[in-house]
Amino acid sequence: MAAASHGDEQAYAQLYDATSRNVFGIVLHVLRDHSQAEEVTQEVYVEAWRLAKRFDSTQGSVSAWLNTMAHRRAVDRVRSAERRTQREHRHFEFQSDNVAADPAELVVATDEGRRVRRALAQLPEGQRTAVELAYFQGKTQREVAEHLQVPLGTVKTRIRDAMQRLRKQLGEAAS
Amino acid sequence: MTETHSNAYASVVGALTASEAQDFERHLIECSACAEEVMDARAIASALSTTVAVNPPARLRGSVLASIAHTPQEQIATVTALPRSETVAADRSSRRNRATSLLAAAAVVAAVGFGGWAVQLGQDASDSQQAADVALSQRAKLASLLTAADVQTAKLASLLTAADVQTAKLASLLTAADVQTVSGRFISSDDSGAVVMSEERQMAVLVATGLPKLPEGKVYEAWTVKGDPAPAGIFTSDDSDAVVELSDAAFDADSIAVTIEPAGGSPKPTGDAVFDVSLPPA
Repeated sequence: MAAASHGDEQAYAQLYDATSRNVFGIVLHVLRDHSQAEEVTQEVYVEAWRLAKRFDSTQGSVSAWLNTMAHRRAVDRVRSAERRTQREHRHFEFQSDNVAADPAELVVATDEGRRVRRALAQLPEGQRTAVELAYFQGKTQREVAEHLQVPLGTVKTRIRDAMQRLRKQLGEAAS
Repeated sequence: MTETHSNAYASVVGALTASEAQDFERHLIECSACAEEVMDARAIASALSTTVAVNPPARLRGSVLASIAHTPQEQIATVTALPRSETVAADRSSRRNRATSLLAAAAVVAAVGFGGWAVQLGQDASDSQQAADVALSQRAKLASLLTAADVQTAKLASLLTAADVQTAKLASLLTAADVQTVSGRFISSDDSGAVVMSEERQMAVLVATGLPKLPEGKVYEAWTVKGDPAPAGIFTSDDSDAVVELSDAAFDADSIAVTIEPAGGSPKPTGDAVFDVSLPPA
């Protein structure tokens, strides 16, 4: 990334190769639409290139930076699509013939992925569901509370406890 | 725990509404506990993405690389944290206490300046979340400037009370988006100095601690060096520390040097350099 921040396109290509499956994966899982996921992934990498000098390695890894940016954009897009369809009084559904049958079928198994999945599986169910609804489905904490029919405070606590537990299990290496 | 405070983890998993996220981002600027928590938790949230990794179609790579080839990069210099000064000995503890209180003063002024900057940024940025990221990273840079360089920053703080330099100007230097710090060592002593500069604010300052005692009738003179050295400011020091505002030539200079010169200074350096630091190319 240091090289990429000085305009090294080849270094950036390497960065893309090393990080794009996580970026594309999270975007696809939130959006559930292949062509939109491609669009957002492209936006993320162009934006990250443009702002490369803002990346500060003391603030976390480059993959965390990219994943955060990607997740945020995907969630923003899902929510604005939801608002649009709500205005039109239609049930939310992407109008695309390009929908992946189930993104889960395409998942690339990596060692880290397995490790994180194990850690997720060990969370108490309430905590795991809260994190999954928020992170993978882009729901707000209020929506998660409604969905699970628990008070908002409980959702906040579950998300916090889940993240702290994951941190303990994944240790410092998680990024 | 306040309402906003409790949103740290929710923000990381993207569970805040746009307006909650905005409130939280404002809160983040002034709450270092949350800032730290968020930084930590982001790494965990990011790790969640590894459970759903999917290879993007091969054409996307070409399309990304083609786009970046004609996308200019935003130019921002990054802060290099100064080395923590190890030279404050026990017998200088009273000075250290003074430094601590000055540091607190600097932090307050910097926070005020920073708040103003963040508000302005919020208006400019098309994406509020992006503004939050910038604010977070700037906040961390500022924090690293304030903590990693305690002695130097204390000297900056002492400038806040000096009559000849405007407080607001210095605070604005510390909080400039492009503030850059380059540290160097004084020759023949373990003490350090640093050049803090911001092109955006058109201000460059030399911060020195533990200066050797000046011989009678001599002064320190700073030089901006690009080819021939040009005078950049004369200073003395009562207590071996000094903060000196450098001339604008510092922005083009290859290095900044300090020599000991006869009172009144010299047009060209005549003494040996006691300090010399190379600046990164502009």
